[in-house]
Amino acid sequence: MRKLTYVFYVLAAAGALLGLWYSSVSTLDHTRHLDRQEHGMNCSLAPGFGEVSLLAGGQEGCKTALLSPYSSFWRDRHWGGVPYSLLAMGLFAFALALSVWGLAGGKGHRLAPATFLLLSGLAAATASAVFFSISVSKLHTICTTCAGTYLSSAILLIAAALAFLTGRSDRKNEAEPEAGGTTLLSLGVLAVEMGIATFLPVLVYLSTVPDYTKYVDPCGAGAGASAGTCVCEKLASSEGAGVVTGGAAGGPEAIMVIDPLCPQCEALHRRLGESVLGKTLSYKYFLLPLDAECLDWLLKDSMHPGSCLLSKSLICAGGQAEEMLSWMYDNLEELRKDGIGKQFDAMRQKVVAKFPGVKECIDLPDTKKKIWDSMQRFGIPNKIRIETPQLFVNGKRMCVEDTDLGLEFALARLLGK
Amino acid sequence: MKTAWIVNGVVMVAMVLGLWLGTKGMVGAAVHRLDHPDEAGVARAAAPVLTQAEQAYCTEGLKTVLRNVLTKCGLIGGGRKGCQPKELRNAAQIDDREFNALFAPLAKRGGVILFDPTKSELDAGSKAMIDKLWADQRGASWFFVVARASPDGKTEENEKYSHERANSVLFHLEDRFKDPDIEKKVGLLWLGEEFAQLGTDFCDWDRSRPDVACHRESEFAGMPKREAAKALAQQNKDMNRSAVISWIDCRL
Repeated sequence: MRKLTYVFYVLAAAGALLGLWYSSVSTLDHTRHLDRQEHGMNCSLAPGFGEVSLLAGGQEGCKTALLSPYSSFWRDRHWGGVPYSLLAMGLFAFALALSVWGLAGGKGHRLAPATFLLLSGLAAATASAVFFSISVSKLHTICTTCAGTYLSSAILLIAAALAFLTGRSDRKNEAEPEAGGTTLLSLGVLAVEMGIATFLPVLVYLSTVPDYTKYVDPCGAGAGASAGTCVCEKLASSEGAGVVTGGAAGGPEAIMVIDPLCPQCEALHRRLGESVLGKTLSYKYFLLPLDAECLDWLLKDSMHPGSCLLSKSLICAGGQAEEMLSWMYDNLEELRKDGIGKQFDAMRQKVVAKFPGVKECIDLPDTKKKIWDSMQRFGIPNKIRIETPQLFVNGKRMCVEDTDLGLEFALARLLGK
Repeated sequence: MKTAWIVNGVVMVAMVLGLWLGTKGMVGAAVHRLDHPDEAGVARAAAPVLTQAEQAYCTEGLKTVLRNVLTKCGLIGGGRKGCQPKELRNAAQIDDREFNALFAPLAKRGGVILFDPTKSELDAGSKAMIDKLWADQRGASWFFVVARASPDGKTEENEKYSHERANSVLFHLEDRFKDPDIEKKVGLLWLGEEFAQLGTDFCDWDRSRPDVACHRESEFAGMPKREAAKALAQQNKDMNRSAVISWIDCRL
């Protein structure tokens, strides 16, 4: 094996090591959330394995990617799904082991290792290209740690391709060329090793994660005292909840407790819109504006000033309510700024400019009364918590811990699927 | 060649072990935390819930009276609405002054609907006031309508007017708001001339007819006694051809 091939193998090993590092950090970020608690992310091009505080900036891209349906598969079967980064870990680990083997034995130029190193690079780069295009087109953000994986894949692919090309002349000039049968055997062994390496982390993962059913359905038969912090909460009746409705007509009923200016509500609304099962639900929105204008007997200060005004607008929107809610969430930052700055006239003008039909209705006394009526008929009898968002499916409250990464799994369990 | 495969075996076993232990370790740590939730998680389970309003004036004394009125007048537990004067005396178990004092803290929350003599029809101002106050429910569960009649005329007729005035408010609410639960919310009391007549304390309340003057007793001090007595008597008549309406912000 020539020096140049050695150099490319070292480069490939570096790319594989980097890829293994980034994919392990991504996996750790995912698995850390398996305790159903809030955690920071290691969102950096130089990530560590420690937990970064949620208050540290720059984590949004990785959080968005993690919570999106594109970070894992089988989400309806396993809480949080199986992270794709496990496959990446296995693939990069295999490429690293192959590089180390090629370097240590000096046989990296042989057809089998060179081919599988190239295959590893191609697989990693193809997956990176797919995930990068999803980031750009669907998530509209780039996860920095993922970018590190993309970069590693590129290094691995380039180094593996160059090693393959230089190895070809090495093979031609070899004094004792490898026999055809040996090459075939080598190819077969490496194919098995590559398969084992790539899928082993997934198999270990699946054998280690517990059944989360008892955690996500504390009202269910299997739930016991050890089923975490979430307690069973059932609705006595959904009557009075749906002043505003939406979703799939005729689908299973879901009641979503929302505040139009709550960022977590926007995030859950978006995730439900992306969720396979979430799209099948018929929604009743229970408006709980955490604004003293609407909740003066319970709140001294408004958590989301202006959300009472927006809730009234939603009531006035009638058949356009869901469209209006999506518009509010799309413009959440701007509307929140208006609210915090007490610029309620500006907020009202924005709503009316987009939905002129609600202009006269917003300030009618009946409009606010409908919010209070809904609280009296649904919120108070059902002892609804003063927090948003909340989701009730089949009359059972979804644990707040399951409203992000575990959403699809929890929906499937609460729907009895 | 053999050596190369031995090296391959060692490297691959190391890789497999690394992947196995690494994955197991990451998941295992989270699963351990899952079964040992931290204190923050426990605290989150005890969030406050939506409740009805409970204002400072909701003393045990007031609640007992309201509960008695609501129970005996048919609101709690369903069935018949409204209380007649004789029943109210038993239900409230308090005297006129104490009964009126219960409503004093509602001066800024409620209003006084005024009627013409021997009439029970609502005028435009009354309807507007009812609509405005009804819409301002907030966290209250009970809407009280306490109708009255002035002491001029026959007692039986006055009781009839009082009853009709209470019903006028209820019928307007039913027509205007089409609320299916209205009977569970509205407590009707119709008092005749013999119980809990409104005094000048109620001049602080908003009236459906702001042009009808209402003076505190002290304001009559500068007037000749006879004239003052006459004016006060007229004012009492005007103010008692009425219905006091208000949401009650108490959990009963």
